[in-house]
Amino acid sequence: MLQFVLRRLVGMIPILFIITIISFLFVHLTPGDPIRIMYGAEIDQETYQTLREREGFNDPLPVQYGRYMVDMVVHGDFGQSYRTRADVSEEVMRRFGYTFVLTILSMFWAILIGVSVGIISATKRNSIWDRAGMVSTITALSIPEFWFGLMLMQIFAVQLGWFPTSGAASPLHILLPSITLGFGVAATIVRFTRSSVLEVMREDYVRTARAKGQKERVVIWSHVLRNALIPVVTMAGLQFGFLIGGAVVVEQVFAWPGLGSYLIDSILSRDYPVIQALILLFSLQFLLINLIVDISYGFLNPQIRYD
Amino acid sequence: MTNVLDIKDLEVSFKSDGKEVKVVNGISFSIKAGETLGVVGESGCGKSVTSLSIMRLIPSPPGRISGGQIYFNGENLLDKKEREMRKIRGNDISMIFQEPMTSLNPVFTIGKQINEVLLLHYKMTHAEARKKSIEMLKLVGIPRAEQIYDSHPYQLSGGMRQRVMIAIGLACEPQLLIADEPTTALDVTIQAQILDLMRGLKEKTNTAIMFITHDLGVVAEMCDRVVVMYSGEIVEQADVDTLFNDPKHPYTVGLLGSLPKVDEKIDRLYSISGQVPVPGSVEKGCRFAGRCDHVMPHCTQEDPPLFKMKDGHDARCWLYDPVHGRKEEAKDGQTTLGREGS
Repeated sequence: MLQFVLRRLVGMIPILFIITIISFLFVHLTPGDPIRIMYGAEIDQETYQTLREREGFNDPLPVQYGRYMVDMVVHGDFGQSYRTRADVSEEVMRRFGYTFVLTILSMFWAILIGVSVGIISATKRNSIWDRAGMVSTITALSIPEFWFGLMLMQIFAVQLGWFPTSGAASPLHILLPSITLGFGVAATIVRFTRSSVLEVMREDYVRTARAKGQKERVVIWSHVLRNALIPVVTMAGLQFGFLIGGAVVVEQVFAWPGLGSYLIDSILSRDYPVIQALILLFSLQFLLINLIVDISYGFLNPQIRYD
Repeated sequence: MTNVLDIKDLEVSFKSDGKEVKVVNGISFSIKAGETLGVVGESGCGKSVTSLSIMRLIPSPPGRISGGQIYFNGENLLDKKEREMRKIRGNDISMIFQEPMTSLNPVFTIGKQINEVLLLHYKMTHAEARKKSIEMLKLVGIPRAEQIYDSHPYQLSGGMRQRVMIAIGLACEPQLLIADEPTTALDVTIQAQILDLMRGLKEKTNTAIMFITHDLGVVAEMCDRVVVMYSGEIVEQADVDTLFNDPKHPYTVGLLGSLPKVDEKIDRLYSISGQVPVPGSVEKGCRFAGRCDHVMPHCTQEDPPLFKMKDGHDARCWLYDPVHGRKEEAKDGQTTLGREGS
């Protein structure tokens, strides 16, 4: 088990290395000049050239990449933001907590709503509950997050005044953004859970459990669910990746001081070191979540061995 | 001896495309305590549906028990509430299924799956259940029972899994064990072992067994009495010797004729021509008429009743009717249809 985790962690190194190349090229080959964006057209050619020289933009790309990698790997230095001159790693660490809490809570809502509605839909198949559940998921999947967020804000924050509109001053502030973010993923999990439960309910061993005289409730919650959740867990892990993407939009809507809004601002101003660091961080997060999903398989499915 | 199970005019219907089709059409039979009854017939003749009806486990919808009574120890199971049925399932009546490979839950250990039925029906501590489960595993001939107790189903072969299923089935000492083709999915040597095991256990526990199969060889080996089913009806029932030596219904004769014989050399085995009719497609007359070598004009006119041959031997065929049957054969009452293909 420990060996499996170690091997997987080592296996991430080449993946992350390739991601640095892609993110570096992606950032540097995008049209737009950070110096021009930062200082506008007012500065004269001479100052412009000095600034370019200072940031090292006049060196060939491989040299710039080499410098970036040496700073990062050898010195652990992710550079400084062009805009704020602040240390990128410090700023990222400060904001990471906010995004982390937001995505985890969203995932919690998504799994809670998704699995329970999915089970109800499957066990009461073709009932009014099932129909209602299916219509809501289609709706949830079709609604854009920013609009849904604004609607929640309008109803619960502005009109009813139950929640604050935006910011992160109190624990209550996280409720609306996390529900907004978790909503779409919940819909996907509902559909997945429903079809998975329906499939498992047809299995012979479910009939065996009933033939033992087991209660229907235990048949569903123990015999069916343990098996039906295996594909749902895989899917939920993959959805986490989308959640990170969704967080960028939702954080913007609710002025949540996480990495998402930071990323958007940095992209708009071509703040290369920040963009690169964030892409790398999101990739690492995605890889780690997949590792956790793989480990959790072992608890769900006894046939999986870590060797 | 008293009857453990008494089925009277059982009808089971399934809904398909908005139409309700009877797949079991007025079946009556009984099983005495300690007796093994074989239920034989082709795939789709209603054997499994009958057995699931006794357990009240017909998937509903689309299935429905649309008529008749199922008396178990004199009480009609069809009047029982679901809660009462749960006390009977796995405890008084238990069931072994055809597919040992998929009948055990892959995520639970063998021990947990045997314990489950014990803890449901007996007041037992976990430690007592464990002890009893290991005892059951030893009883069904599983070596290294303590080790297997903690194994998962994927670590066991098909034959071992069927032994585990039998252990689950017999754990609560049921009065009736329904075995739905328990050896069909196993290879021949394992089949023989499982049959030996079941016969041995039956002698020890005196459990009545309803043995569903399409293998006449298994019937000859295991059963005291046989019910032959065709297209949702019983076409013949008799004790096992009578059925093999003096079959009356042309379908039974055909089934027996299609068995290879050790002492005869033939190029081609006999087979009954045609297909089992789709349920609901025969509107009147005998359901076997379309495939019968002895078909008479009257056969397609009216559904034949069960004719009593002698004590405990019935056949659903117009050949044995004094009016419509073959007069000269019916007179002496000793009709034996030639075994086709022999």
